[in-house]
Amino acid sequence: MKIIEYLVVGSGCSGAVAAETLVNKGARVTMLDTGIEKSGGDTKVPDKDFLSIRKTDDQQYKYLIGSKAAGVGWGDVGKGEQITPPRKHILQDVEKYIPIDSNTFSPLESLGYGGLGIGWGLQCWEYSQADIKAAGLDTKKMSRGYQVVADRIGISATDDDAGRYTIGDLKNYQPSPAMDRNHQYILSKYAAKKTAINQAGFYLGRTPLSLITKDKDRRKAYAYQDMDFYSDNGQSAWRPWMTVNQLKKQPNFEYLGGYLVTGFKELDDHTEVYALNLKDQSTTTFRCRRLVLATSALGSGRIVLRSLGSSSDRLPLLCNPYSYVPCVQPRFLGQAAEPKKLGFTQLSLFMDKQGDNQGASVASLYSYQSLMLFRIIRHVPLDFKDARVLMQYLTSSLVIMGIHHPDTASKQKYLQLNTAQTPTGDILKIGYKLNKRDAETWQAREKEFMAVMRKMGTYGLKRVDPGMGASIHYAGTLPYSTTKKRFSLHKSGRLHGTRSIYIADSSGFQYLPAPGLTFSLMANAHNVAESAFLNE
Amino acid sequence: MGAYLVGSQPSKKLIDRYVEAIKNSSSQVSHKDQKLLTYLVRNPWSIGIIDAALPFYRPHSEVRRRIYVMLAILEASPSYTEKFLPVQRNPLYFFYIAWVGFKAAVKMLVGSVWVRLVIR
Repeated sequence: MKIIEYLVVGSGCSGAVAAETLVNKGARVTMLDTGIEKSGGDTKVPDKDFLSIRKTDDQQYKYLIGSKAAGVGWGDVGKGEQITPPRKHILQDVEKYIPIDSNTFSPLESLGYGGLGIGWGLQCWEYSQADIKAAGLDTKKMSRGYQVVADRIGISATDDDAGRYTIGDLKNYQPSPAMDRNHQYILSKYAAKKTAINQAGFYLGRTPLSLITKDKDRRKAYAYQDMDFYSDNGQSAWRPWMTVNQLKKQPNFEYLGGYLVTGFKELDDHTEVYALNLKDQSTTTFRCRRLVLATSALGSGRIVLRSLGSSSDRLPLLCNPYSYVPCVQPRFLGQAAEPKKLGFTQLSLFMDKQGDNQGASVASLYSYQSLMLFRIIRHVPLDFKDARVLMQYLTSSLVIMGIHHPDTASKQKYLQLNTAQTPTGDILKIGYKLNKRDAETWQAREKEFMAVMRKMGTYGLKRVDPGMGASIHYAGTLPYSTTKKRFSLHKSGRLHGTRSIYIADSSGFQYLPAPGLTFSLMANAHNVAESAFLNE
Repeated sequence: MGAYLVGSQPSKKLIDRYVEAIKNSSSQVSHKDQKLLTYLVRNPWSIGIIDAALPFYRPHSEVRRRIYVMLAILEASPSYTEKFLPVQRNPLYFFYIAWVGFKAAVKMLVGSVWVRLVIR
């Protein structure tokens, strides 16, 4: 049986970056991945803008709601409500192969080709130096990692009032996309009341996005079609599968899809990696010199527990607490649909009372148009007929504020692997509870966010709590440690107690800052891949 | 249902799409919801009052879900785009919206009694 030189597991954001780093260094890399791809007629989205489609395309129902309305969700508000029919494969087979047992935590995971990156919101915030250190990462390496990743994927950003919270010392970025009227209005109000808002500890700026506004290689500049939740036409938004597609053209890269890695065993001169073949449910054993797991904090936690732990072992878990607030801008009630709109967040509002860029909370602001009226109508406590009339009038004024808070470890946030009748023989049990003090602090902060938004002519209607896990930011299951304790990582990303097993996702983060972690886990994935190459 | 939501009878194509969607989703219908559905088929004029009560009285009702599915199907059709996309309104339209809100509140109060009577 051949021995693979470097085996990277996972095709999401961290896996794609780690694999590219290794391939660029000349390593022979095999990527092992579940890699479920989209299929069927519901995934064909025309290369047209949202408003034209709505007015003319008779087939729009297929990709907007699903040919059998499968995209029309019902039940309690939860994660993934914005996953549209062309991206439904994000969730395919997740309950079957990576099931969760929890009453308190409802995560989103993916077995798709490109992982959760398929539907990622593109935010590329840098962590502050203080937050990087608190997470257990190296500030110089992260600075380099951010730049390497930014140069590869293309980022649009603005160095403005929130620059120290968003782009740090990043260079070579493209201009931010044009803002729609809702966001232009907020920014103009901020400029007029900046002193008071800053004194209250709030800072507003453009959100850096992995979205190009100028052509880059084979990818086209963003065309403002407002179909961001449905397609990647032009590839202006970076997705991990785009990198993996390019890597497949390299002679030193091999992609093996249809495999769910279940465990590993380190032997004298190689590691055995066990994978479930998703087609026939058989188990295949691969052999490799270096193993790089990039299956997300939950995924890597699962694999490590299965390989080295027992059902009595618990791993810690971090997840950004998250809530959202639909807001109204009376100025824009009853306005016509706007042709040039973005589905992505355009502005970020940071709350940093101490001014030290540590432990800040952050709100992302979004307009609402292309996710359709029905998704928002169902949350209106009126009959559907009148709710439609009301929401048609209100939509042009709607801004959604999504608020994230930092998270620290505690005994009440954990995961554990229990035996179960599943294809892998186990189920991941997750317990998650915020302590009372944190819960009160976050709620108080959210009230302050709403107060600041009112200063900017944008009025929150109500706070919605979609439940723990809804932020889709998970970390800290195998935290960095200098003490070589079990289920922890060396600063290089190597799993303590092993010689050649590396974890390239967010499992190692000891602390989870509020700004979305994706850009940081990609920078870290690059650094871990470099360490794996040097066998540190 | 379509006529109730947007003021005109949907095409056969859209009705077929709705039927297919309901068959595909195969939700469990509770005894109370079955009573409501039977009542609505016999008394289609009452759909507005029943629908008004459900957000508070039975928010996850199968009846409400079915109306919701029809709403989404209508929205995802070029024939009804103008009923869903934002349009430019006169500032005085705000008063019409206030009137719609008032009517909805009255329907909700009446409906909550009506629904209780139907499903008892």
